Amino acid sequence: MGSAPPVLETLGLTGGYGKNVIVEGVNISVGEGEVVALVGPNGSGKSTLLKSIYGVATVLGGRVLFRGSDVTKLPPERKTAIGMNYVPQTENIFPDLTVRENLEMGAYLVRDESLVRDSMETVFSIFPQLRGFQNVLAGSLSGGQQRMLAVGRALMTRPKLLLLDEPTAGLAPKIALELLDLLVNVREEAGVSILIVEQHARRALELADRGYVLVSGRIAAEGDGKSLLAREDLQKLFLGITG
Amino acid sequence: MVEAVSGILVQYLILFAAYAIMSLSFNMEYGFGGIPNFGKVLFVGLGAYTFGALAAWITLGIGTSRLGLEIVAEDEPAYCTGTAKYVFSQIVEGGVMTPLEITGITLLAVVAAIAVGAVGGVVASYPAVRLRGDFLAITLLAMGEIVRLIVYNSPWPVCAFDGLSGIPSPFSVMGLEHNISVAVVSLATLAAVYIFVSRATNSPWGRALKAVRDNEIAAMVYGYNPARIRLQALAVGSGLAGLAGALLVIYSGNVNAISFKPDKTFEVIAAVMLGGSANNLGALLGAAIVAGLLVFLNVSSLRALGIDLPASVGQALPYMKFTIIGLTIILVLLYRPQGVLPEKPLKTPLIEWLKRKLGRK
Amino acid sequence: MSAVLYGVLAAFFNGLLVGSLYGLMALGLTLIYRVTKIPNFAFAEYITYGAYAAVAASFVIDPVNSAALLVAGILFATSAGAVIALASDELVFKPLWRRGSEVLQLLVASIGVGLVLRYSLLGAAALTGGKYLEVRFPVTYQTVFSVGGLASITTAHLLAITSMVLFAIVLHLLFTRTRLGKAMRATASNPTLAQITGINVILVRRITWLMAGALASFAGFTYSYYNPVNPESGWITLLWIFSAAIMGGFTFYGVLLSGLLLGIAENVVGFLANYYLGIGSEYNPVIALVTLVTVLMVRPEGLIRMESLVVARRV
Repeated sequence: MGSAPPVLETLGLTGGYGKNVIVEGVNISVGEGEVVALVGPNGSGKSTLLKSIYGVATVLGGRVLFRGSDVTKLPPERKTAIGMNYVPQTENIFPDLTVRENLEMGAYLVRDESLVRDSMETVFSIFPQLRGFQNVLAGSLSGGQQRMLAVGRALMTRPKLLLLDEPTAGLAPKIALELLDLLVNVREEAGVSILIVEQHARRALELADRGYVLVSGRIAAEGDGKSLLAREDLQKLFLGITG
Repeated sequence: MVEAVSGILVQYLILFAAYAIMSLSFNMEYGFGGIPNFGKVLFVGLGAYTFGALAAWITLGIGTSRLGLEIVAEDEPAYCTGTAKYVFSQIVEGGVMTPLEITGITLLAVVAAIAVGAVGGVVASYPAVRLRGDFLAITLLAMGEIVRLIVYNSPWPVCAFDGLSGIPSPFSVMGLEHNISVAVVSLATLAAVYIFVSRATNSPWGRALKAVRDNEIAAMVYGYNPARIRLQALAVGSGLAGLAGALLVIYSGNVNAISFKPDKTFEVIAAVMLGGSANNLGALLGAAIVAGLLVFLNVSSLRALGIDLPASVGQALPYMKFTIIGLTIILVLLYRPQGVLPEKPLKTPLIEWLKRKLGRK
Repeated sequence: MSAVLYGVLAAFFNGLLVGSLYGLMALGLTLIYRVTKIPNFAFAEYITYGAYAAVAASFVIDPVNSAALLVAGILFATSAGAVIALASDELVFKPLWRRGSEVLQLLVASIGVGLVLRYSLLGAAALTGGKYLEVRFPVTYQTVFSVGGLASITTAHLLAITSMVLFAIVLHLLFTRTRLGKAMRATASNPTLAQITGINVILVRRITWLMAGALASFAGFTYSYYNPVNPESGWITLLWIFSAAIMGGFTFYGVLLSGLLLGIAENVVGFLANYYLGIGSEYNPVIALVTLVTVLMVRPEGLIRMESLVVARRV
């Protein structure tokens, strides 16, 4: 029995903005149901890697495979349609829409009303806080709630793969760690694989199944979270980052 | 022919000077300070009304007493009456007033025009510190329309829709050729205004103005008071606009509120955008082009240049000017948003010195 | 009935008509503003062009059949307005928006578009000998009922009031209940995110302009149905329209009420000022302008906000 292809695989992915190369020759993979953390110092290109995968940044070389098929050239909205979704680091909600409408817009491509209702229920069960704010304008939510909504919005298409770009950036440490814990529930409840870029490297690697360390646009180390955390040569990196 | 052409050129120089002063003032507020004073025409109008009313009132007062006349006017200023026109014409004929007197009155009225313009600017700074961007632009534009509508319909200060006309030319009283003298004086005034505005925008105050435009909070951190800087910019800019208004009245001898519709502001906006926002030389260039459009795209001007237009085209021409101004605004925004002469990077002695040092290395 | 009361009633009826038109016009302005954030000064010209297109319909359709003429007038007007509005976005506003232009630049651009449209029409009217410097739709309104012969409700009232109320309800439901309307708001709120959630942002924008243009020119048609129209009619009304929109906080029901209030205030206050103080009606526009300035100074987010959905502008 041949094993199923990974949900996401990049082959020598080079990406950046315009002609500027930010990440180069990156090979990573995310397996079915896996949570994979992408860590590294500031400016190492973690976010750009995520954007290149999703198609928001320019792919300058290499390939992106989603469940075995080549999606390198697919525009972002097409990727959303086939089961990938992405939560940008900033401006990741519609502030002038209510919480409920944000989620509805997340499922814009889903035509089946009952599927949308089910997905919304799932989101509310993962983030119970949001349920009470359904008719509140998203822009008036607290920072932590806005992040929950951003992740919830991305879950509305029932993706197989979720790309999270620093979902805790700018949050108070306590709230950030709570949110990270909640994200593990996302995998359980929504049955989704997650590739997460995270500043709180230590915590992220503890929670993740595997991790990649990105330095200056290249993969410097990979392995399961605990072994990466144990590596002497990477301690400086983890100390340099909060968490 | 030659005489007609030179007449048009003189007319062009006068309008160029007036538009250049308005453009420099709009550019200081909007280009350097980021304050969208879309009510520019209001302050030009204030200057024009003030100059016209004051100059007419004083000359008429002196004129009537010396001619032994008395004017009875009900519900309107004496200078709106037919008798006033007669007195004015007598003054232009000469002998009633000395050149010194008329010069003094003119200068006094100009100073008053600048002062009233500046006061208007201070009033306008009330919305300008409370609103930003589009809402501020609309507010100032509406304020301009309010004043214009009232002035246009009320006999005070400039004789309602008839307008105040026949204000004696000080140059005629002095025995000089009116248009040429106005051109000389206007260009001299423009030169002075240009030097003043350039120095102001290049001074520490000008840098503060830019700082407030680019990042208000950062500017506050550096100890600037954005509200006060906006007020100063509007007061100075509106004073200059008032001066331009006074020049227009000196030139034409008339003042009518109908000339101060928002379209005039749009002409100035077109000039500044075309020339280059936050570049004083650009404002001059833009004003030169817009004034050219206004003066030369005219049936009488074209005829003087030997171009005869069919009557219907002649009828359409005054409107086509504004179509062209609108097109200019659109095309500049689309294809050259920085204008012909873009904003120059900051120049200070320290930066220059550093550049030289680094360049030498 | 005393002369004053009689006059007030006539002014009130007239205010209803004018106010409905202000409201109707302001709805389209609001739609554009809500979706694209452009304070569109060229909007006035869509109204004028709509009126002219409606009149042009009467050159094509046999003027004897007034029902057919009315339908043709509406069709001509709305299609002309929709096309001109869409064209102004495709040619000017969209390219600027893509480049990330500020709201103020978009405002200046709309002034440019307005100048081009208005003065081209004036120029064209002058070129053709001035015959079209003022036009009027050939079918005129009928009095429905009248108090003493002068204060009347006419078919123009019915048309203006019904269409204003209808369009306000439709727009409100569109924005709060439908997928398209929510997509419009999402596009306005966060275009990048709207794009990646699969909303066709460009299509949404096009639909918005078509709708707003059609709405504007429908108002233009209604205007030409009761009043002669000249190339500057829209422009002269623009500050009233902005007053209504800003007073209503750019909410559809708020704009409707504000338009009505402004129209009634203009006529009733104008009448009383004339009757008791001898102030002429030429000062009436001052009412709208002073309202506009006062609202912006005191409550820039609007006086009559009829929707909880609009977040206060972060000025």
